[in-house]
Amino acid sequence: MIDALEALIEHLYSDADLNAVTEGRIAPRHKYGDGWPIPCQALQVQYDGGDAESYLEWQRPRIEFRCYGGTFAEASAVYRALVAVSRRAQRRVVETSAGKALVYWMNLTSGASFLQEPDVRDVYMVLVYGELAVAENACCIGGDGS
Amino acid sequence: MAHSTPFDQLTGTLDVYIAPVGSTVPGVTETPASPWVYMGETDGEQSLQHAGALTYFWDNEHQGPRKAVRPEEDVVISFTLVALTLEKYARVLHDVANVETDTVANPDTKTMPLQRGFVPTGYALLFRGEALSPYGAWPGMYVIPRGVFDAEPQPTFAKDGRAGLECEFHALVDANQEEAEELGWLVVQAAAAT
Repeated sequence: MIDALEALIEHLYSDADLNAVTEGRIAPRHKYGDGWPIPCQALQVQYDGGDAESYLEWQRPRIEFRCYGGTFAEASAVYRALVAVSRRAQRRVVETSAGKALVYWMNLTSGASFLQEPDVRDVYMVLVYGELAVAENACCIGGDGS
Repeated sequence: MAHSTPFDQLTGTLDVYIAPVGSTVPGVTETPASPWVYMGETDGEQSLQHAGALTYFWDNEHQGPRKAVRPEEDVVISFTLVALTLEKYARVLHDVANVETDTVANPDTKTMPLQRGFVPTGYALLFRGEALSPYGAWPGMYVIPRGVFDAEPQPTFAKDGRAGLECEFHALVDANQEEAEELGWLVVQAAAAT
């Protein structure tokens, strides 16, 4: 079965702008003090409840996004790149460890909140929530037909 | 046991293109080019309605219906246009040729008549998605070779909202198409290009 969070992270990785602004620092748990410089721009994505699907093999979790930066302006730049990814309207196939995953959509469901990361001093964040839909079954073919 | 495969669940919004009736329909993998015109941003979902209720016939010997026919049939595409340039607005109301760039002193102005007229302008319409194929993340499109914009749109201007033009494209029979495709057809890419 496809790991929806892994598929989402691959989906976010594949966006050139978001990848550039975070320098690839997109993870389910922040790594400040464990490889990420303090402060730096980064994105943490975590499961945060959501709706369960009773019939079809797709996952629809709610996602908590923490857009990090050394200042609110830096954190906002990560948030803006995330908004751009959420504007995509078409399904996409991404590679995961369990096979090709089909990401149906990722939408933001809240506005942004400015907060300070409680774990790490000197790191500011924009907190925003979203929804994700990902197929549970691996696809036999990719978006490029491979 | 899976009840579905990933690709046969379709998500995503579709783009609307129009062109004069009789325009060459582009291939499903091609981005439509002139004379096809992208209608622009739409607000929320776009939908396609397969209309046409059945008429049932009963005889005196059975309680249930014995036969059903569909005497009338319609294909209607609905969307709300929020890209309200006069050119797009006019295409829905009547004809883009009715938009006049006025020859007045600086600055330039444009004028669009509001009367829609007795005979609506016919268009061909594409209703296209980059990943509309149920066989892969490939494009697909509904093709309506001939139709008219119906509906009585009521763009509402408000402080806390956005004006939108409700569009309803009603397919008309195009006698130049194959009989089964006179009201339009759906075409999708079904396998990888080799």
